[in-house]
Amino acid sequence: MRKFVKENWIAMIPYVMFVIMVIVMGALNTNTLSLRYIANKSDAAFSLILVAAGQTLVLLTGGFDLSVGGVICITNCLAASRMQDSVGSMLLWAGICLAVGVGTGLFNGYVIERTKLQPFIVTLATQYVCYGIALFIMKVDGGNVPAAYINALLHRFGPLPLSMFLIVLLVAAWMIFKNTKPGLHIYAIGSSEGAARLNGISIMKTRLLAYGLSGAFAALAGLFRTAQVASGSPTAGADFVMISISAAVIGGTALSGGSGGMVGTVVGALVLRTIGDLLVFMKVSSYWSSLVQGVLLILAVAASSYGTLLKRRGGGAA
Amino acid sequence: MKAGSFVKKNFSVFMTFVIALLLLVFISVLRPGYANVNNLRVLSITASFLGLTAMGQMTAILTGGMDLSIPWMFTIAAFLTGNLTQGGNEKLFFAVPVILLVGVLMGAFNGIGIAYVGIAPVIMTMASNIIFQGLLVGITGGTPGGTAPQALKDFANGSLGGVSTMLLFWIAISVAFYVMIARSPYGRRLYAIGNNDTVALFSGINVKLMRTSAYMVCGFFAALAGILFSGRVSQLYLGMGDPYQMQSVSAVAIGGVSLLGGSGSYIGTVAGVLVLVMLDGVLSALGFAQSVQKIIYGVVLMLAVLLSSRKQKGRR
Repeated sequence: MRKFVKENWIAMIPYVMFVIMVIVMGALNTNTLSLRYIANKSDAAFSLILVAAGQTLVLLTGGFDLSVGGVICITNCLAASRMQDSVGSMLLWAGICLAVGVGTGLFNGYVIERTKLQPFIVTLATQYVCYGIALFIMKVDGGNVPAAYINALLHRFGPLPLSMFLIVLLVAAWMIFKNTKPGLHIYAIGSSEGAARLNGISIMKTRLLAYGLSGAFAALAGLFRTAQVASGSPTAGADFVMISISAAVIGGTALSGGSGGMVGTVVGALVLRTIGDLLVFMKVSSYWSSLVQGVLLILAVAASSYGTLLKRRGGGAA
Repeated sequence: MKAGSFVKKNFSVFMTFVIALLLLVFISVLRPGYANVNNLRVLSITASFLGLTAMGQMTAILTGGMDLSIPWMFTIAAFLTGNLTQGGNEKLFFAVPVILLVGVLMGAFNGIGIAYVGIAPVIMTMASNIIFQGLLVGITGGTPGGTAPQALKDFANGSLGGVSTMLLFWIAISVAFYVMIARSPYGRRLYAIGNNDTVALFSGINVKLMRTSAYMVCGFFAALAGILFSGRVSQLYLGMGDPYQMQSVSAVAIGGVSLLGGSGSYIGTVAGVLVLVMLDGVLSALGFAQSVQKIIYGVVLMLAVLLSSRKQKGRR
């Protein structure tokens, strides 16, 4: 047990952080330990968890996806303005949104692999295009979301929300996926593209898979946000871009690619969504909340990068 | 060097200038009379501010990093200008050095986190950006505590012999920056650590210190631009620096500077700045809806970067 802790303490940072936060919150306000509260928070964090999960796949390949914000804007606007009350219409537009996300992701992946341009710039460009398209669909905030759609996605099984089951499902799916061939390929091209190529891995296919899934997850996040906020906004996604990267990084995924995973990301997203509430309970003025978020992000990352540094020195390798 | 071979060697930079020029011609044809002295002066002022921030961004990018904290270093400098001078011209003499120092210190914070602690540049500067935001909003409550002095307003909006003073200032600073980047030992070391920091380390460069200094330079330019921008606007507001985050990265990338570090020229960055400003000018002159503007902006950004990186790929 002690050996396990010694070897894995870096990976445990986000979990410890989250547990401490929950304990402090529970001590400050016992209401936060009720199932009702947790159910609400699960719904509130779920969109971020979805985007960050997709972002993680891209970060693992050593890339970046800034266009997730744009995809969320488009899907949020489409769902809020076009969906009708019938089940068929809901499924149709959900499918279209998913297609938009996958399409954007595949485009990113193809352009990055084909032109060898930096993912940062390519996805920044697609982000602008997506923001533009979202403004085409809806000029101002608003829209009309069918009540049945909201009820379906925010459905409660007793006290437990649908989103909580979906989080568990996501983690379970990830556990299986990361040991499949495509999952390993994603890690491989992030660790060393050259070595991956020599081992016969198709870089193009793997990149398309990672960016395509990232787009798909962003689309799902947009769809869920539509139900959660019950309206659409052409600027809804802008807030998700940087915070999705933060969530993955706090969860232990390295920007250099090849290490990390989705479970950490889920916890990272929960940490980020909990900070705000924690500050409210600690009666800190909301003016200071971004400061605390930034400090926390640096501390989490500093601890893990410092730990990696120590490990390297101990190992003696460069 | 013959003109022909010079153009050939710097083809991508040359093409970027051509794009900027074409955009200008494009405006003049579609909106005759738009390219008049007044509008060009406004465009030149816009370009100068973007140019100043792009210098800092380029320094960070040359080392293989990136500085996403420019927006709030910029805004803090602008707010400090208002607070420290309270509109008094003579107070600028002590306020400007103090604010520039604050900028350098904020940059040092980034640099230390990146070089000595080992945090990835994007994460470090993204975090410091919201830390700076929190500091400013927390301390001031979000309301500016003063206005910029008249002298600064005259400088930022005025012109000298028909040319805007900001443009002249940008050109003067550009010359100094060009010498620093392309002709001095400091510049050579920047390229060296961007290319390969292990090799740089073994050739006796203090890599960590150099990397930190690059972010300090970036903080300096962000603060400089912020001070001047406080004179440009009638009222200070939060988020005044926001556009410069991605625009500065875009300008540097369009100019053919590799985001991996270690290659690219300042002349290219100037061309990148001009392309972005002209593009903005064209889009607003044509009166497109916001949606169409954003779409065209994204497409042009991608094509411009593609064009300017083409030559590099061939050489590699």
